[in-house]
Amino acid sequence: MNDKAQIHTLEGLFAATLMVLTVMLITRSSLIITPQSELSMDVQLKQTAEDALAILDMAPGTALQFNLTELVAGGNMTEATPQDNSLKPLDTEIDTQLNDIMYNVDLAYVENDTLTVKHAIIHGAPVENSVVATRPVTLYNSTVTQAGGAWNVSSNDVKVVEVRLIAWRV
Amino acid sequence: MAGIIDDTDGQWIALSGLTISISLVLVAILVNEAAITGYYSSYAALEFPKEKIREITAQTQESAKNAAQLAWNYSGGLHATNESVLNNFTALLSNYSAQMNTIYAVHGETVNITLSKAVFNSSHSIDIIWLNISYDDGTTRYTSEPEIIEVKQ
Repeated sequence: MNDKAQIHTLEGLFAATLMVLTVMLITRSSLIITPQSELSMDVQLKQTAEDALAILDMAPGTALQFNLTELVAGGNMTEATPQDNSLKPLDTEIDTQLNDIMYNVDLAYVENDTLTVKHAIIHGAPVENSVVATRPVTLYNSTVTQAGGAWNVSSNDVKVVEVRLIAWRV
Repeated sequence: MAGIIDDTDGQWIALSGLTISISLVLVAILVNEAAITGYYSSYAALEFPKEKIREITAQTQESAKNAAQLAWNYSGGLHATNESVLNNFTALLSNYSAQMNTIYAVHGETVNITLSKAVFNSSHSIDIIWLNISYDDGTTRYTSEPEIIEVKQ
Protein backbone atom coordinates (compact mmCIF):
# COMPACT_ATOMS: atom_id res chain seq x y z
CA MET A 1 0.00 0.00 0.00
CA ASN A 2 1.26 3.48 -0.86
CA ASP A 3 -0.26 6.83 -1.78
CA LYS A 4 1.24 7.20 -5.29
CA ALA A 5 -0.71 7.79 -8.52
CA GLN A 6 -3.70 9.36 -6.86
CA ILE A 7 -3.95 11.95 -9.65
CA HIS A 8 -4.15 9.06 -12.15
CA THR A 9 -7.03 7.58 -10.19
CA LEU A 10 -8.85 10.91 -10.16
CA GLU A 11 -8.18 11.31 -13.89
CA GLY A 12 -9.69 7.89 -14.54
CA LEU A 13 -12.75 8.80 -12.52
CA PHE A 14 -13.13 12.11 -14.35
CA ALA A 15 -12.77 10.45 -17.77
CA ALA A 16 -15.29 7.74 -16.83
CA THR A 17 -17.81 10.40 -15.74
CA LEU A 18 -17.39 12.25 -19.03
CA MET A 19 -17.86 9.02 -21.00
CA VAL A 20 -21.03 8.16 -19.08
CA LEU A 21 -22.38 11.64 -19.75
CA THR A 22 -21.53 11.27 -23.46
CA VAL A 23 -23.29 7.89 -23.71
CA MET A 24 -26.34 9.36 -21.93
CA LEU A 25 -26.41 12.23 -24.41
CA ILE A 26 -26.32 9.85 -27.40
CA THR A 27 -28.93 7.52 -25.87
CA ARG A 28 -31.32 10.40 -25.29
CA SER A 29 -30.74 11.57 -28.89
CA SER A 30 -31.90 8.18 -30.20
CA LEU A 31 -35.50 9.30 -29.61
CA ILE A 32 -34.94 11.87 -32.32
CA ILE A 33 -32.75 9.70 -34.56
CA THR A 34 -35.38 6.95 -34.90
CA PRO A 35 -38.25 9.00 -36.36
CA GLN A 36 -35.74 10.91 -38.48
CA SER A 37 -34.75 7.73 -40.35
CA GLU A 38 -38.42 6.68 -40.66
CA LEU A 39 -39.38 10.08 -42.02
CA SER A 40 -36.52 9.95 -44.52
CA MET A 41 -37.81 6.62 -45.81
CA ASP A 42 -41.35 8.02 -46.01
CA VAL A 43 -40.09 11.00 -48.01
CA GLN A 44 -38.19 8.70 -50.37
CA LEU A 45 -41.16 6.35 -50.82
CA LYS A 46 -43.62 9.20 -51.39
CA GLN A 47 -41.30 10.77 -53.96
CA THR A 48 -40.94 7.43 -55.77
CA ALA A 49 -44.72 6.98 -55.86
CA GLU A 50 -45.29 10.58 -57.04
CA ASP A 51 -42.65 10.13 -59.73
CA ALA A 52 -44.21 6.87 -60.94
CA LEU A 53 -47.57 8.58 -61.50
CA ALA A 54 -45.92 11.66 -63.06
CA ILE A 55 -43.95 9.50 -65.50
CA LEU A 56 -47.07 7.59 -66.50
CA ASP A 57 -48.98 10.84 -66.95
CA MET A 58 -46.39 12.85 -68.84
CA ALA A 59 -44.22 10.37 -70.75
CA PRO A 60 -44.35 10.83 -74.53
CA GLY A 61 -46.18 8.28 -76.67
CA THR A 62 -42.89 6.90 -77.90
CA ALA A 63 -41.87 5.90 -74.36
CA LEU A 64 -45.12 4.30 -73.21
CA GLN A 65 -47.91 2.80 -75.28
CA PHE A 66 -50.62 4.37 -73.07
CA ASN A 67 -50.39 7.28 -70.64
CA LEU A 68 -52.16 7.49 -67.28
CA THR A 69 -55.27 9.17 -68.71
CA GLU A 70 -55.69 6.50 -71.38
CA LEU A 71 -55.09 3.70 -68.87
CA VAL A 72 -57.73 5.09 -66.50
CA ALA A 73 -60.15 5.83 -69.37
CA GLY A 74 -60.03 2.15 -70.34
CA GLY A 75 -61.39 1.09 -66.93
CA ASN A 76 -64.46 -1.15 -66.84
CA MET A 77 -65.83 0.58 -63.69
CA THR A 78 -66.02 -2.62 -61.65
CA GLU A 79 -64.77 -2.78 -58.08
CA ALA A 80 -61.48 -4.63 -57.85
CA THR A 81 -60.94 -7.62 -55.60
CA PRO A 82 -57.59 -9.02 -54.40
CA GLN A 83 -57.96 -11.75 -57.02
CA ASP A 84 -59.16 -9.57 -59.88
CA ASN A 85 -57.87 -6.05 -60.61
CA SER A 86 -60.11 -3.89 -62.75
CA LEU A 87 -57.21 -2.00 -64.38
CA LYS A 88 -54.70 -4.65 -65.43
CA PRO A 89 -52.79 -2.50 -67.98
CA LEU A 90 -52.28 0.20 -65.30
CA ASP A 91 -51.16 -2.48 -62.84
CA THR A 92 -48.55 -3.68 -65.34
CA GLU A 93 -47.20 -0.16 -65.90
CA ILE A 94 -47.02 0.74 -62.18
CA ASP A 95 -45.43 -2.62 -61.39
CA THR A 96 -42.63 -1.74 -63.81
CA GLN A 97 -42.08 1.60 -62.05
CA LEU A 98 -42.24 0.40 -58.44
CA ASN A 99 -39.82 -2.45 -57.93
CA ASP A 100 -40.05 -4.19 -54.53
CA ILE A 101 -42.80 -1.80 -53.39
CA MET A 102 -46.32 -2.96 -52.58
CA TYR A 103 -49.20 -0.78 -53.73
CA ASN A 104 -52.95 -0.41 -54.16
CA VAL A 105 -54.72 1.98 -56.51
CA ASP A 106 -58.05 3.69 -55.85
CA LEU A 107 -59.99 5.96 -58.20
CA ALA A 108 -61.94 8.91 -56.76
CA TYR A 109 -64.40 10.88 -58.86
CA VAL A 110 -67.53 12.99 -58.52
CA GLU A 111 -70.81 11.37 -59.51
CA ASN A 112 -74.17 13.05 -58.88
CA ASP A 113 -72.41 15.71 -56.79
CA THR A 114 -70.96 13.14 -54.38
CA LEU A 115 -67.47 11.73 -54.24
CA THR A 116 -67.20 8.07 -55.18
CA VAL A 117 -64.10 6.02 -54.41
CA LYS A 118 -63.53 2.66 -56.08
CA HIS A 119 -60.71 0.17 -55.61
CA ALA A 120 -58.99 -0.41 -58.95
CA ILE A 121 -55.94 -2.46 -57.94
CA ILE A 122 -55.55 -4.40 -54.70
CA HIS A 123 -52.28 -6.07 -53.71
CA GLY A 124 -52.79 -6.27 -49.95
CA ALA A 125 -53.55 -4.34 -46.79
CA PRO A 126 -51.44 -1.17 -46.40
CA VAL A 127 -49.16 -1.07 -43.34
CA GLU A 128 -48.73 1.75 -40.82
CA ASN A 129 -46.05 3.64 -42.76
CA SER A 130 -47.86 3.68 -46.10
CA VAL A 131 -47.78 6.81 -48.23
CA VAL A 132 -50.35 8.11 -50.70
CA ALA A 133 -49.49 9.77 -54.01
CA THR A 134 -52.30 11.31 -56.03
CA ARG A 135 -52.66 12.56 -59.58
CA PRO A 136 -55.81 13.91 -61.23
CA VAL A 137 -56.65 12.98 -64.80
CA THR A 138 -59.42 14.44 -66.95
CA LEU A 139 -61.57 12.19 -69.10
CA TYR A 140 -63.60 13.21 -72.13
CA ASN A 141 -66.12 11.25 -74.12
CA SER A 142 -63.59 10.85 -76.94
CA THR A 143 -60.87 9.59 -74.57
CA VAL A 144 -63.18 6.98 -73.04
CA THR A 145 -64.49 5.82 -76.42
CA GLN A 146 -60.97 5.53 -77.83
CA ALA A 147 -59.74 3.55 -74.79
CA GLY A 148 -62.82 1.29 -74.77
CA GLY A 149 -63.76 2.14 -71.19
CA ALA A 150 -67.12 2.12 -69.44
CA TRP A 151 -67.07 5.67 -67.99
CA ASN A 152 -70.27 7.64 -68.43
CA VAL A 153 -69.07 10.97 -69.85
CA SER A 154 -71.34 12.90 -72.22
CA SER A 155 -69.89 14.49 -75.34
CA ASN A 156 -69.95 18.03 -73.90
CA ASP A 157 -68.72 17.19 -70.40
CA VAL A 158 -65.54 16.41 -68.50
CA LYS A 159 -64.87 13.90 -65.74
CA VAL A 160 -62.03 14.51 -63.27
CA VAL A 161 -60.68 11.29 -61.75
CA GLU A 162 -58.13 11.28 -58.96
CA VAL A 163 -55.73 8.34 -59.12
CA ARG A 164 -54.65 7.43 -55.57
CA LEU A 165 -51.55 5.29 -55.36
CA ILE A 166 -51.10 3.85 -51.86
CA ALA A 167 -47.54 2.50 -51.51
CA TRP A 168 -45.69 0.73 -48.72
CA ARG A 169 -42.60 -1.37 -48.14
CA VAL A 170 -42.68 -4.77 -46.50
CA MET B 1 -2.68 14.64 0.70
CA ALA B 2 0.83 15.92 0.46
CA GLY B 3 1.57 13.03 -1.87
CA ILE B 4 -1.11 14.08 -4.33
CA ILE B 5 -0.02 17.71 -4.43
CA ASP B 6 3.66 16.96 -4.77
CA ASP B 7 3.25 14.18 -7.33
CA THR B 8 3.49 15.89 -10.73
CA ASP B 9 3.92 12.72 -12.81
CA GLY B 10 1.57 11.74 -15.63
CA GLN B 11 0.37 15.22 -16.58
CA TRP B 12 0.44 14.39 -20.29
CA ILE B 13 -1.77 11.36 -19.64
CA ALA B 14 -4.21 13.50 -17.66
CA LEU B 15 -4.26 16.13 -20.41
CA SER B 16 -4.83 13.56 -23.21
CA GLY B 17 -7.67 11.99 -21.20
CA LEU B 18 -9.33 15.36 -20.88
CA THR B 19 -8.86 16.13 -24.60
CA ILE B 20 -10.36 12.80 -25.68
CA SER B 21 -13.33 13.25 -23.35
CA ILE B 22 -14.07 16.75 -24.63
CA SER B 23 -13.77 15.47 -28.22
CA LEU B 24 -16.34 12.75 -27.50
CA VAL B 25 -18.76 15.33 -26.08
CA LEU B 26 -18.32 17.51 -29.18
CA VAL B 27 -18.93 14.54 -31.51
CA ALA B 28 -22.09 13.62 -29.58
CA ILE B 29 -23.41 17.18 -29.90
CA LEU B 30 -22.63 17.13 -33.63
CA VAL B 31 -24.51 13.83 -34.14
CA ASN B 32 -27.45 15.22 -32.21
CA GLU B 33 -27.57 18.38 -34.30
CA ALA B 34 -27.38 16.38 -37.55
CA ALA B 35 -30.27 14.20 -36.42
CA ILE B 36 -32.46 17.20 -35.56
CA THR B 37 -31.64 18.84 -38.89
CA GLY B 38 -32.56 15.63 -40.75
CA TYR B 39 -35.82 15.38 -38.81
CA TYR B 40 -36.94 18.90 -39.65
CA SER B 41 -35.88 18.70 -43.31
CA SER B 42 -37.73 15.37 -43.78
CA TYR B 43 -40.80 16.74 -42.02
CA ALA B 44 -40.74 19.84 -44.24
CA ALA B 45 -40.39 17.69 -47.38
CA LEU B 46 -43.44 15.64 -46.37
CA GLU B 47 -45.59 18.59 -45.36
CA PHE B 48 -44.94 21.07 -48.17
CA PRO B 49 -47.46 20.32 -50.97
CA LYS B 50 -45.03 20.80 -53.85
CA GLU B 51 -46.37 17.89 -55.92
CA LYS B 52 -50.00 18.87 -55.29
CA ILE B 53 -49.43 22.38 -56.64
CA ARG B 54 -47.55 21.01 -59.65
CA GLU B 55 -50.22 18.45 -60.51
CA ILE B 56 -53.05 20.99 -60.15
CA THR B 57 -51.41 23.52 -62.47
CA ALA B 58 -50.26 20.90 -65.00
CA GLN B 59 -53.66 19.19 -65.10
CA THR B 60 -55.51 22.51 -65.34
CA GLN B 61 -53.33 23.64 -68.24
CA GLU B 62 -53.94 20.40 -70.13
CA SER B 63 -57.67 20.35 -69.33
CA ALA B 64 -58.15 23.99 -70.34
CA LYS B 65 -56.53 23.33 -73.73
CA ASN B 66 -58.73 20.27 -74.34
CA ALA B 67 -61.84 22.09 -73.07
CA ALA B 68 -61.16 24.99 -75.46
CA GLN B 69 -61.00 22.57 -78.38
CA LEU B 70 -64.11 20.72 -77.18
CA ALA B 71 -66.03 23.99 -76.75
CA TRP B 72 -65.14 25.04 -80.31
CA ASN B 73 -66.19 21.67 -81.74
CA TYR B 74 -69.42 21.63 -79.75
CA SER B 75 -70.25 25.19 -80.84
CA GLY B 76 -70.20 24.23 -84.49
CA GLY B 77 -66.52 24.43 -85.43
CA LEU B 78 -65.98 26.91 -88.24
CA HIS B 79 -69.61 28.08 -87.86
CA ALA B 80 -69.16 28.90 -84.17
CA THR B 81 -69.32 32.36 -82.67
CA ASN B 82 -67.06 33.76 -79.99
CA GLU B 83 -70.00 33.97 -77.59
CA SER B 84 -71.12 30.35 -78.01
CA VAL B 85 -67.54 29.05 -77.68
CA LEU B 86 -67.01 31.17 -74.57
CA ASN B 87 -70.29 29.96 -73.04
CA ASN B 88 -69.46 26.32 -73.66
CA PHE B 89 -65.87 26.77 -72.45
CA THR B 90 -67.04 28.53 -69.27
CA ALA B 91 -69.49 25.70 -68.56
CA LEU B 92 -66.77 23.06 -69.06
CA LEU B 93 -64.28 24.95 -66.89
CA SER B 94 -66.88 25.50 -64.19
CA ASN B 95 -67.67 21.78 -64.14
CA TYR B 96 -63.94 20.92 -64.02
CA SER B 97 -63.36 23.40 -61.18
CA ALA B 98 -66.32 22.06 -59.17
CA GLN B 99 -65.05 18.46 -59.48
CA MET B 100 -61.50 19.44 -58.51
CA ASN B 101 -62.88 21.36 -55.55
CA THR B 102 -64.85 18.34 -54.31
CA ILE B 103 -61.94 15.92 -54.79
CA TYR B 104 -59.41 18.11 -52.96
CA ALA B 105 -61.89 19.08 -50.22
CA VAL B 106 -61.71 15.45 -49.05
CA HIS B 107 -57.99 16.04 -48.26
CA GLY B 108 -58.80 19.24 -46.37
CA GLU B 109 -57.59 21.43 -49.24
CA THR B 110 -59.39 24.06 -51.27
CA VAL B 111 -58.85 24.49 -55.00
CA ASN B 112 -60.49 27.25 -56.99
CA ILE B 113 -60.14 27.73 -60.72
CA THR B 114 -61.89 30.59 -62.50
CA LEU B 115 -61.70 32.12 -65.95
CA SER B 116 -60.24 35.59 -66.12
CA LYS B 117 -60.05 36.23 -69.86
CA ALA B 118 -60.10 34.36 -73.18
CA VAL B 119 -58.54 35.65 -76.39
CA PHE B 120 -60.07 34.42 -79.66
CA ASN B 121 -58.54 34.14 -83.12
CA SER B 122 -60.22 34.82 -86.47
CA SER B 123 -61.65 31.27 -86.70
CA HIS B 124 -63.50 31.77 -83.36
CA SER B 125 -61.40 29.33 -81.43
CA ILE B 126 -59.63 30.29 -78.20
CA ASP B 127 -55.97 31.17 -78.59
CA ILE B 128 -55.00 32.28 -75.09
CA ILE B 129 -56.71 31.55 -71.78
CA TRP B 130 -56.15 33.54 -68.59
CA LEU B 131 -57.10 31.52 -65.53
CA ASN B 132 -56.97 32.24 -61.82
CA ILE B 133 -55.78 29.21 -59.86
CA SER B 134 -55.68 29.16 -56.07
CA TYR B 135 -54.78 26.37 -53.64
CA ASP B 136 -54.85 26.37 -49.84
CA ASP B 137 -54.23 23.49 -47.42
CA GLY B 138 -54.46 25.59 -44.27
CA THR B 139 -50.68 25.98 -44.04
CA THR B 140 -49.55 26.70 -47.58
CA ARG B 141 -51.41 29.07 -49.84
CA TYR B 142 -50.60 29.22 -53.56
CA THR B 143 -52.14 31.50 -56.15
CA SER B 144 -51.40 31.89 -59.84
CA GLU B 145 -53.34 34.89 -61.06
CA PRO B 146 -53.26 34.82 -63.95
CA GLU B 147 -52.09 31.44 -65.26
CA ILE B 148 -51.68 32.18 -68.96
CA ILE B 149 -52.26 29.18 -71.22
CA GLU B 150 -51.51 29.20 -74.93
CA VAL B 151 -53.94 26.73 -76.45
CA LYS B 152 -52.11 26.18 -79.74
CA GLN B 153 -48.74 25.43 -78.09
